[in-house]
Amino acid sequence: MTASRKFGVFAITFAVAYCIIYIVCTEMNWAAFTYHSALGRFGFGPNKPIEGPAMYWFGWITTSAISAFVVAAIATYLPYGVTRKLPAASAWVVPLLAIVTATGLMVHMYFFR
Amino acid sequence: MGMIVLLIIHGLLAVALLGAITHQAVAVLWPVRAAAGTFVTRFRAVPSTSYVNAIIALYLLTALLGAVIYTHYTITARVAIIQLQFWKPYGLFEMKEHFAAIGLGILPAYWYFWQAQAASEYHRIRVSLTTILAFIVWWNFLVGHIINNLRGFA
Repeated sequence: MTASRKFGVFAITFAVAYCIIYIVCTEMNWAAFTYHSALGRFGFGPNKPIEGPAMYWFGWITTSAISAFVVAAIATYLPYGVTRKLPAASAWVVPLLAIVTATGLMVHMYFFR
Repeated sequence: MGMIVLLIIHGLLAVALLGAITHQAVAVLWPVRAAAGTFVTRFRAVPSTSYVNAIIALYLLTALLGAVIYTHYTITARVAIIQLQFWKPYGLFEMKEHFAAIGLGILPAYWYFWQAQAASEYHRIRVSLTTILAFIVWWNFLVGHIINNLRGFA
């Protein structure tokens, strides 16, 4: 496997893992950290709001990026026979499904209240 | 005042990103078969590959500035939007937030599938990833404007 092909496996796996983990993070609130914007203070993990809103978005992205990086890095060390079964099209199909899922969740939460 | 300056820079970067990704998306979705003639044909005839690194850099820079502005938005405009119960615009902005995050996750794959080795083999994947990224950029640009017009600050 060439370095380029390895990066291909990494990129596809990262896109798939990141999108799935991100959607799960938003639903389960698995934020690596919380930013309390009114105070300019960070808290480890998902904290409750303190004197103002608590921002979890940065934490969700961090959780997703780190987890997806680990999954994708592991995937690059798998034998070619295993990684070739990973469809290249999943690099766009899964993100598209993540967009549809996020849209559905937001429409359900904010457009019918 | 500082946030207004950042917002303007964020908007300018978004315009540059919008132009680059639209050029690329049109060029791959509607490729030119004959020699360039009209403005539209020349618009479609851009060398798409040369846009990739610029698009990634602009996406990251725009997202980074957006993230900084977002911290201010949560304690200013967002509070007013919630108090006024503007739930639909609020929901549109929440989608912007999620789409921007999903866009970050596909950037490595977008870069990979635009590289020479992957170019001919994975044409459809390249087109799909570019279209998704173009959709995200257009959505975020328009919703940013809606929120900005709604409250005077996004």
